[in-house]
Amino acid sequence: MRSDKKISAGQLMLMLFLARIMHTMIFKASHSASGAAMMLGLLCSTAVEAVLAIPAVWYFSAGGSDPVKEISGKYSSAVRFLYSAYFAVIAGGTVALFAEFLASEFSKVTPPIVAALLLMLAAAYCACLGIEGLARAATVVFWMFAVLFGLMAAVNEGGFDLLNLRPFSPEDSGSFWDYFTESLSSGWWLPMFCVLAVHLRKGAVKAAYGYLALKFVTLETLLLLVTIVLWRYVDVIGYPIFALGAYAKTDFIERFDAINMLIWAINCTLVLGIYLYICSGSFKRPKPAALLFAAAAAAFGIVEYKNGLRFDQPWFLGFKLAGVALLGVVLPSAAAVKLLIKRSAAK
Amino acid sequence: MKKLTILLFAFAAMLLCGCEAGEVQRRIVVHALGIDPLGDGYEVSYQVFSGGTSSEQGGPVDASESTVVTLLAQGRTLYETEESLRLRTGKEVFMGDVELIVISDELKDADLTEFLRYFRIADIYLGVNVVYCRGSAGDLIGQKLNQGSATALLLKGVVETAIDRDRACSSRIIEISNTFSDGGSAAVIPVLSLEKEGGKSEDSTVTDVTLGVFESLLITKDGFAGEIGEDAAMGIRLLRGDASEMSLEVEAGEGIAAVELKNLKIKRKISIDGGAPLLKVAIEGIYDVRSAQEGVSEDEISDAAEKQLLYLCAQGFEALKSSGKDFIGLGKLLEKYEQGYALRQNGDFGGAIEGLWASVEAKLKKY
Repeated sequence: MRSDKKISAGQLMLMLFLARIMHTMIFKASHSASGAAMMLGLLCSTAVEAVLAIPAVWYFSAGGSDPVKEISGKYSSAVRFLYSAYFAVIAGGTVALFAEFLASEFSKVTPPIVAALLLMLAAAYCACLGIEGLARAATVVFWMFAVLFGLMAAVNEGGFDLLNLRPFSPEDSGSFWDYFTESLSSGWWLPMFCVLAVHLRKGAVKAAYGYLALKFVTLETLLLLVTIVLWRYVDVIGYPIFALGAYAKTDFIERFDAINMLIWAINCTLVLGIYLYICSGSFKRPKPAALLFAAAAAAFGIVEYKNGLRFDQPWFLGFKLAGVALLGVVLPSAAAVKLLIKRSAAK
Repeated sequence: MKKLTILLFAFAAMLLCGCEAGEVQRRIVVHALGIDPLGDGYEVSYQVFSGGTSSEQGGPVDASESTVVTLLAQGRTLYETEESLRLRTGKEVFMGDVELIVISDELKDADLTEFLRYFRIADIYLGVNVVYCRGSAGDLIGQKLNQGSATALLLKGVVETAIDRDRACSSRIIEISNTFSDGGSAAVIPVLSLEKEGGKSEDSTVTDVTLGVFESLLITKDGFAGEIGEDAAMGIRLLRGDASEMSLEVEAGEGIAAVELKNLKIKRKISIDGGAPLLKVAIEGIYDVRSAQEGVSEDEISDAAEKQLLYLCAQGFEALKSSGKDFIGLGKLLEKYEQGYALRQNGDFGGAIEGLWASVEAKLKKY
């Protein structure tokens, strides 16, 4: 793994945020839930993530350089491969959901599989540019997304119906637990953080908790808008951010669909590039490795898309949660304990 | 390598050019839809711009009134009518620019949810209003009026003015769809009517019909549930709490005054009183006198305007009770203020409406 300190805390925070928001962009709402239950679910899952992040954040703040090397020594290649395999599957799932989104919303434009292959090719190229290039691009893409999101919220034509925000009742507990689990299983920023923070100049706390705050505020705002403006129509359209754009227009922008599509495609390329960078970064020849993982992730994604497999199916939820727990919590906890013991022995 | 990269980017940029100059001409851009029954299916009137010489040559589309034409297509489903139009014209039908959808009242019992599903698939903007009309929707769209041809923009303007002045309820696709998703609810959909003006000259340059929204239909997922007049529609806006400005003509003392109500603030609360729900509505706002007959005092105008608001609410309340359908968001109010009672209703608020009481207060201040 290349361990040169190249990126700032803000850049890492934005890379983690874009990966999370990509998942929200292509997440298709499959069931109705009251806004309060979902908002509470997000609050609780964010609180749990904040606690789960403590070992990794402490490890880097205390001067640790690489938790994988710390814990596995000469077997670090094998452990790094676990990260590579995990993020190859996550990249495949992202491509599959993006293809599904294209098929459902832009069926007349480009065949989804062709688009998925092109995206993966572009992402492999991005991964080859290295962490600095990805981090700089993340800042640009973040501002593109922020302006789009702010504009769609500001010019939304819907009226606010605060009665939609009904209080949490025992009947909502099922929706609460569903959303809580889904939100927690989308916490693969923890393993991402463990790999990418190796390149961090300083500010592990700022990167991790800044990300959590940014994610929390953005997603709660989205859930609030969905609840009090769009209500059940989100179930019809399926994609919450897309639905927000579907009910917004200005004098000079009649439809937000095309702008949404452009920014989502750019973000998808960047986020896949980050995943492929994580997959290939530990290899001696990262460029061919990035292409190899891109091919593997594309193949997995296309099979997943063609067979209708979904990110929110129980086996996938389990896989994602297991990865978060093992690679994002257990491994950095062990590294933190080892670092602590090493320091105590040195004293 | 650098040259190759630049070439690749240049090639990609060429792909981003999107439409070639003539592509717009291979599409029919629809601005209004009129839906009428025809046997077991429908006859749909598509109001489109016919284009002009400049647009045929790749220039801007001529959107003046003289280029508006109405194309008719028949089919068993709305999709089939669109397909029929596509086949007969050899052009793609583009619905993203639709401004208004008019449905004949002969279709008031038809399944509106099916129509809504089609509008979504056809990519019609969610903020487009759906209205009914008396008689043929196709005739209405193709009508010559005092104001000019019944273009989509003119029809839309008439509907939106009625909604903005709180004389009709908003009936956007998203609003109707959300209303139907909340069990037991009814949508209040304006009826766009042509009215004959009596006593006009026989001068061929003067037409004797005008357009307006004077009544509304109550539509549920299961079909037609009743019809109401303009006063009841205004009352519903007040009971819903979404009225903001109104113009009223009131009988004050010995004369008549025209007042403009602005900045209406409506607070609603519901409680269970003696086992039955009691809806409390408090209306506050300011008024401005536009004209008043001589001898009418300010106090009399203020009293009369407040009484008029109570009268309108009574009309809306009567419509609510007689239809038995929740079109004022009663279910949501109960879920917020009386959750236990709401849960016992199990999503059906027909019983709650039957036993419902209302208490309305109106307080107006001079602008």
